[in-house]
Amino acid sequence: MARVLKLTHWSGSTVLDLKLNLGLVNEDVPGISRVLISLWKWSRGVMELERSGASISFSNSWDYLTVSVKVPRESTNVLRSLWDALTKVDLSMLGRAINEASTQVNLAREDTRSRSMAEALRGLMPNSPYGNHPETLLGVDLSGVKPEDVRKALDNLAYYSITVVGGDVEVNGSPATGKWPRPSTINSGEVKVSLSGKVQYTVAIAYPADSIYGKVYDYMAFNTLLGGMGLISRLYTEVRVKRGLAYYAYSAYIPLGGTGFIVAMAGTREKYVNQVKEIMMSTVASMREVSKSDIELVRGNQIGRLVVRAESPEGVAQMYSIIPLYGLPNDYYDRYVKFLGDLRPETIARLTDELRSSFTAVAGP
Amino acid sequence: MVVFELRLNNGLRVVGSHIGGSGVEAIYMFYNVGAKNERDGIYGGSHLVEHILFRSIKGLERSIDEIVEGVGGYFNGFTGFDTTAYVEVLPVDKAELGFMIEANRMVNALFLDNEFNLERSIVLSEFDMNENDEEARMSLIAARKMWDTHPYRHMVIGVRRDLEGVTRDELYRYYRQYYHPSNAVLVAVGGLSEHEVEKLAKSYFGGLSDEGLSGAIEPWDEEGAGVIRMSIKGSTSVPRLLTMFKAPGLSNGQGFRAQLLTDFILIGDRPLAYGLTAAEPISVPRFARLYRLVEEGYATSVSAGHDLTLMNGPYEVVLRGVKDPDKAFNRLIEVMLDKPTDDEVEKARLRMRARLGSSTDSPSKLGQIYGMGSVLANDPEYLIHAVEDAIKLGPGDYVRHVEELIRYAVVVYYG
Repeated sequence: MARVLKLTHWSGSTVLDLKLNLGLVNEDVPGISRVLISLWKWSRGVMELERSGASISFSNSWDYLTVSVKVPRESTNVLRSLWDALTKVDLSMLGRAINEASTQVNLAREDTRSRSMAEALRGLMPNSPYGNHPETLLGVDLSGVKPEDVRKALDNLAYYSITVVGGDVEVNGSPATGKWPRPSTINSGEVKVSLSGKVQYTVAIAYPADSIYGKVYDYMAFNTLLGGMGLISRLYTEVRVKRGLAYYAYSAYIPLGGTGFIVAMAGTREKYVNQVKEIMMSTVASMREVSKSDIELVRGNQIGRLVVRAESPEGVAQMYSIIPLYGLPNDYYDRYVKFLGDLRPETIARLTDELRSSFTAVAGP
Repeated sequence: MVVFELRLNNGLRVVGSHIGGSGVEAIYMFYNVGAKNERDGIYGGSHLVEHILFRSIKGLERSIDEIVEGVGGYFNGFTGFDTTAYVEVLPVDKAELGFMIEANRMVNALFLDNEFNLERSIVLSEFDMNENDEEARMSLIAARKMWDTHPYRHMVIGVRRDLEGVTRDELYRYYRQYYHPSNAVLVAVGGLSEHEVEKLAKSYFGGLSDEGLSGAIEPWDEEGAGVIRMSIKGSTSVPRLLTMFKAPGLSNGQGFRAQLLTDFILIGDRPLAYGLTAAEPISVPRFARLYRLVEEGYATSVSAGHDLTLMNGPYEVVLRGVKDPDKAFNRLIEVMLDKPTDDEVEKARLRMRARLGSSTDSPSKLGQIYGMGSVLANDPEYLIHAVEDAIKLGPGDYVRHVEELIRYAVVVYYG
């Protein structure tokens, strides 16, 4: 269900968040969204908007492609031409766009962090578009994208959701309903990838989790305690604070339409790789034990974070855009606050048993 | 936005703004100490101190992490060439926690031996992380060629040998020298009123005594001219060319303003501050001057930027997907030197006006702007005024500035 959500903010900026039907799961040609992003940047329409003072960023993801625009509130009228800017591109720029997009993808493939996450997801969900990574696009050769592929993608271009913060913006275009395929296979295993010129390894461990339509609040609370609450989360405490083995150690829960996953990450030297891997796994296993004081921390953190993330118009847009995108109830975050109020240690602890499968990837020298 | 300022009896400067509709308060403590104050044996020390100041602090019943994360706040520390800053972004009804943390952090850090050693390991891991990034490595190599003895030559992360060798006591002395009220600026922006900020500042900081050194230094630089070329062999599918110039710092008001215009002509944007709690939409418009190099096939992508510094600091242009580094560098210089058309200048002006709005629409961004301006230029609104002034500059100002900028360059090729 495509929906529009409009919200207010005290500042003089307006932010528009547009989710388009161009995620990894619904691309007819793999990598087309990545090429389109470069093509849009080189298109006259987008440059005209930027010339007027708009800041526009594009990012592709598993379920959708986000167009995020910020303009001074008195200039929101310039956004009337946004849909035209997106649908009318100069195909003579395609070669340049492919080169630029390929450069970014190659850089991501040579980066231990994005490469290890991509490899872990590929191992976990080998036959699903969710098993690729939007930045690294493993196995995809963008040079194969043809003008007719771009034309077809633009003919079918539609939006899943529009979120406007701090202003009133109308966007043309057609709404679309998302279809999110569930991964057919979940695998466990491990892979190691060698990258030239590196001194540090990244260890990434991916676990399957619920989609946005499942026990998403439970997983959000779980991840907060595991590795999403900065320096007091367990991964951070065990790997960095207590042992000094890594500069970064964290986890992220990414709930999507067809599935969700938790990825735990840490960067370390070769001599510590096995130790770090074992600590990460035992830390996940330690989530079977959750205390009342853990729950208090999670509750305080998540309720306060809702306020803090809303300090900027882009923060409000990013937080609330999932509501129209996935057709969630308007009181989605109020329900989360109520859930947190009722949260019990066993709610988090029992999720640990659902993380039976995992795929580990180690990328480094 | 109305800016208020006051100074406590112990010399602590307090700067802030009240934002009516904000449910958040950003509390920063800026210290006038950074890489510029370091010396042989202690390069990277400012950053290592920043790390240790998230460990045990007398007077705090729980760790800083636990205090801030427990109420959903954001916190961090940033060490730069010239300043070290700490921040808490908190729900406004919890803002007092930020004042309490910063007052204790200023004078009560314990530097326990085991925590010092753990943080040393963590910073060395951060050093490894930087070395994993080819472009960060190229920057470090270029800076060490660009300067001989100037403290900016090691970048903020410092020198591995010094990080491995510095002792707990040396760093503790360094902390005691520079962390005191008159060498700091407290910034509070958000839902608290001026009266509330003043009351909290006096309550938490008013009783602190002021002993130590000023981190202020007389701006200086080393002379250099010509082009230094270097090459690093590597196995990559994306050969890169980094060119480092010296961009004027805030101590050179006229030069800094011309550099701002240059940023908007060459690459189309120059954020004044970064959103801490959400990523901001940032454009790098393809009409910006440097994209000519991509249009003409010298590179497949380009970026350019510089940190805010007190003195002349590194300004980097990175070309990616470079086939012929010599030709690419020569063309870069030609492209930079072209006199801008009226249309180019008008586009840059429009984008500078928009940038002023988008860099001042959250407490955490405003706090950075006020803090940097206060410490480095004695004016919380310095950066805002600098952009307003840069909007008034024209094509001639650009050309004069670029002619000076390209006099000295270090070029590093990786491929």
